[in-house]
Amino acid sequence: MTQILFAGFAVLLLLSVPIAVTLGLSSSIALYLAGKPLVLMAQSVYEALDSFGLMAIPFFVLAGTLMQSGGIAQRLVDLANALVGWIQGGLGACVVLTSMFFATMSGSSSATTAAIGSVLIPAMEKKGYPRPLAGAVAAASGELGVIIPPSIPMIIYALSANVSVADLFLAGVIPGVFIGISLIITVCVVARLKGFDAVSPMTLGQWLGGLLIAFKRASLAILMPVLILGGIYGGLFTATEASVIAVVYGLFIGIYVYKELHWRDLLPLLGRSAVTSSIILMIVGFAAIFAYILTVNQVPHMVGAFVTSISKNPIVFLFAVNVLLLLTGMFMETLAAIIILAPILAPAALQYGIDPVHFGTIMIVNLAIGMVTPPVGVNLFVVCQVAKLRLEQLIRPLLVFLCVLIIDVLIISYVPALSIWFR
Amino acid sequence: MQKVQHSPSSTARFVQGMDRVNAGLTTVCGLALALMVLSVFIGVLARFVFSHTSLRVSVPWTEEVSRYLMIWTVFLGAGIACRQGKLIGVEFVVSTLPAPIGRALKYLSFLLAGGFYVLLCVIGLQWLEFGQSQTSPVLEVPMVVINLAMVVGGVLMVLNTAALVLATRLADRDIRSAAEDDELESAMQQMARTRPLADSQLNSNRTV
Repeated sequence: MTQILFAGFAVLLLLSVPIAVTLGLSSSIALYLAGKPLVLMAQSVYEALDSFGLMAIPFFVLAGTLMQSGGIAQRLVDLANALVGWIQGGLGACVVLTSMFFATMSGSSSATTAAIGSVLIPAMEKKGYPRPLAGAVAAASGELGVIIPPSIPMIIYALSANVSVADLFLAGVIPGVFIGISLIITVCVVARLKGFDAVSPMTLGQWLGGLLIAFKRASLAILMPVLILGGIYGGLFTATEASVIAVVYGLFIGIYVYKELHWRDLLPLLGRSAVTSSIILMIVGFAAIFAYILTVNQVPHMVGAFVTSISKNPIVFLFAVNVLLLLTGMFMETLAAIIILAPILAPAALQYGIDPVHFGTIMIVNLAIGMVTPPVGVNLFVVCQVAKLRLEQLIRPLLVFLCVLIIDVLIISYVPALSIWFR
Repeated sequence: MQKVQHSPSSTARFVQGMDRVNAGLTTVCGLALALMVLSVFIGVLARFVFSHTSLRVSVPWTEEVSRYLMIWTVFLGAGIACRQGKLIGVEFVVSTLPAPIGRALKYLSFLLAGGFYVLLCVIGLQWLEFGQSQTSPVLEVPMVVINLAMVVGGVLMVLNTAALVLATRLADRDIRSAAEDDELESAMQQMARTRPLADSQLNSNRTV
């Protein structure tokens, strides 16, 4: 039954059948051939969707869209520029930093890349960055969208591996900042070696003055992630409750404080967010029946036994998992990869004494790199469209960032304290 | 063998009709999302505000309402998304192969997806029967009302997939690029409205 399931899945995936349909159709074929009632599919899709925890996804999608149209993005760009604009390679650093700020409001990496790339790639070009390099910076920093909370892949991992969404959000903070800083350093080093985006001398007073103005303008936007993460950390509210507070807060400052959002724009914006979330949740629903068939056939158990028979060493296991996940991320869509692999790999990781929350971070960071690697990398596609580049042009400037990201993922894998600091 | 003559206008009318239905349903989904936000927010308020006063208000219906709204939104929204081919797939193989083979495979993939949506309707009807005698725990809504979403969504997906293929053929576009990525476009539009960064800042840096 599982052979048919996997074969059907692979063939349909390669035929460019939508992921949700691929999952559902291969599951139906497997159920039918095993003589099981097909209505099982309806039941497990409904069980998966009938979830209060899952509702954080449409709410965070909506909050992100509100933020994009509410004049907040512009303020974040200005704040980042005031902070790091004066360094050599400062504009590249500004791209990374803005992506980090933006990631605290958006749960998706393609949205982060699109929003930041469309404004800052032209600005970087003006300052002498070659366009492919500018695109590479935007694509690489866009992956922070899913590592820094809130994060849609994290919500999905949490639900499929049965850990708390709130814990996973908190676990993403330090790895996200860590990756951000490493990317900033990389951009600055590249800029210095290639000799563009020169230092603009500035006195401390000028810097502080500029920073203060930018900070004041952006303070309400920056306050939101503080409020939400603080509330989650303090145990005040759950991730879903936090997401609805994010929506209400974004609405309030967009309409009444920044006044760049109008009531009449709201309905189309709501409709668009609803459709975008449906696309994501459709995958979640049909992955549930796929995962159910895997579990009934004890695939997670068999994989666990197989893996532990190869090596009892957690270091070897983590290395193997990193390679597997990087390869998966190169070819697979992130959400489907999580729903299929999390129930299989998380129990195996537990046998090696790896915390499921820490393992979740490893998985998300790995798959996030997959968004920046060819042949299937969402961020690359987005950047190609935004900056009118061909995929091949991006590869060379991207290599140095990919090396840094891979070193980052290894450090995050082998230093659990970065992820589970709050325990 | 007599070929059925489809006047082009009937195809075009079908596509236009579907687009009108989709526009209406997008609004419905938007309203449903707004209601979800509202009811969950009421739940949060109830927990925070009312629990600190002597009023002990419990609002168990908020969770149920929002969950059922979400189920309906997902099926309707996915149905609408089919019109723009927005359900995510891996286009890598189809776009790399020589064009005629790639196009043929893409048609096959639409056919398979369409077949699955039909299957979804059939399974959805069985699922309706399952919910016949049940009601929801809090509001006592008949489960049939909620289970119906799958059938409606399935029908919408079949029709919209057909509309997508027909519209692509009508416009004489390559079937492989039938999908429209409007999330990206809207993000870019939004950002285009904001002022291009730092022209002033860049210049001021130079003059300092």
